[in-house]
Amino acid sequence: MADLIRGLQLRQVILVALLVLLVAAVTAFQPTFLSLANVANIAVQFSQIGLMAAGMTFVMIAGGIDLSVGSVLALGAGVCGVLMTVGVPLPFAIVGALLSGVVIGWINGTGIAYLKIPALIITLGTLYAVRGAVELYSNGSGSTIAQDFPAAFRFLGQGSVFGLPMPTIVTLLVYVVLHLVLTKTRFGRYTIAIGTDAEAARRSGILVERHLTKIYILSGVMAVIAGLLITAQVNAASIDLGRGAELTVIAAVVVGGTSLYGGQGSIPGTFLGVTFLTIMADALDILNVSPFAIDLATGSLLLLSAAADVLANRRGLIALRNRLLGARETEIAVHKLT
Amino acid sequence: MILAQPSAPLLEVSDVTIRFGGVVALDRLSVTFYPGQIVALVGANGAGKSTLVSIISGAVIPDEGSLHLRGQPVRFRTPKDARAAGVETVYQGLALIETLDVKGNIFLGREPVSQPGWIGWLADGSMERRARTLLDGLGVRLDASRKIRGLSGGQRQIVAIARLVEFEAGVCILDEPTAALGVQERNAVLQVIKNFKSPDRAVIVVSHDLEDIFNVADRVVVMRNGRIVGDRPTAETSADEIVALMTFGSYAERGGEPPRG
Repeated sequence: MADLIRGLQLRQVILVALLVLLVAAVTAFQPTFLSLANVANIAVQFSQIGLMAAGMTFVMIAGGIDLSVGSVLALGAGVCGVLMTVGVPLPFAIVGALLSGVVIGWINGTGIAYLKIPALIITLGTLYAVRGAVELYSNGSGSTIAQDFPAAFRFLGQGSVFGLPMPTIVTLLVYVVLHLVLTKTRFGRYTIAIGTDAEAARRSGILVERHLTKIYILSGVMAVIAGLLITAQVNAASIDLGRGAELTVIAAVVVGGTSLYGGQGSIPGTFLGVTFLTIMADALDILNVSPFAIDLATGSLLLLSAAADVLANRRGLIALRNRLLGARETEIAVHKLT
Repeated sequence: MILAQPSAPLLEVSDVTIRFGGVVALDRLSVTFYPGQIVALVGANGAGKSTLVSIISGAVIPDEGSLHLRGQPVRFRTPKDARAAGVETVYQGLALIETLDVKGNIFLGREPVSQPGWIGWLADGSMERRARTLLDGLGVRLDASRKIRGLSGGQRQIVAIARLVEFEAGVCILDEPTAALGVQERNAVLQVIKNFKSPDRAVIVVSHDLEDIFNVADRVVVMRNGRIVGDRPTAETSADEIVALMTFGSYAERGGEPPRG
């Protein structure tokens, strides 16, 4: 907990303050904002972007980007739906869907790490290719490729435990696990190392290419899980699921404090970013503000956050901050031995 | 009189030759490194110091000649081979991860993990304790939890050296360790290098700073035009002689006699 507080960036503190102000202001105009129903609504919306944002955090900390998550979300939903429609038992259908996410993640990771194709390009390619494949499957016969799922599956999206919606529980569990992975395991440490200085990481014996591939696989799997939860919620797999989601996901991760330069970021930060964007969208919606205002607000936040990131990483500013905080740079006490 | 060398050679470079295009970068070069010694490797730009270091560290394969480690012939095809054999090089870039802390960097790539191993759960407590022991062993007081980003150049150099201790490197090459450091920091790093000396390792310091060399090294090896033109214990030579060797080479090399009068 102490580490969490120490690691807070200025812009995250500002974000929390803004969030509190936002919630207070909206509730003043529209008390139903804090009603149980709306909070549950927000919680479910959180999971739709939140899961992919957690995966994207790892990708961006490692210095990459994954534009394909929206399409992989639809792929996962589609694969699961189609498998169930042809009679495959639910657990295997879910595994099949997860495997499809692994495959796309592997393609992304291998292209980026081994073939040295820029992440932006290859994940843009998979974004189009995967979405196209899903649309081709339905081939104009409507946007729903599967529906009427078994009750067990529907529970994942519509059920709740102790009042908490299932999608939220799943997402929170994932967040806890991924936070621990990032901060306390070798996998997380190597992610940070590679994102800061891939060559230094390589010289230390870290298998950089293998690790990057695993990270993109993680991102793909997160997208599939998100797709499964949405499908379970609406009880239908649609080819339009997740369209454009990748942009909101990236915005949430950056707003939450993950650096565009790689090597810096956190899961709690992403949690904050996703929470903020979700609440902001819901607030604008409940106040009947034009949906275009949401895009404007998201864009502005993203630009401000990116500017803050650039400023925070400028050498001159770091030196200034060090001097202000009284960091003593050159006193190294060394004593002679024997 | 030669330095008393009670131990067997650790690394022997024998008749190593390498050509880049038409240029002979190293010309039948032979030099031996002993454990428990700090050797300064000096020479003007283009003398071949970097090439020699590249060969020892496995970055470059010689055209002719051989390397022997503890009496056994070795062939380093890549830097990874060299590292696996216990030859570690700290280049001027230092290769530290700024966003991690001191202990994270000391153990990077070789982190101890708790059981079960496949989870990769970092044994933070044990790393902290071990890092503190390492730094104490070098005579330094430095908080192992500080991020590299907040450290000065001298402190970073010390972290890079601590890493070598943890890796139990046998042959340690330090490339210009005091470059770009202020006086206070430079003295601190030099003291750490002296504390770093140990009977199980041979330390090679590539440097152009004569003051540093006479401060820290037991022996000076001077290179010129891809050859060794001088190999003296520091106690038996002077800055003037080193500069003369670097600039003009040895008298024997020039086939002449030292001037009289």
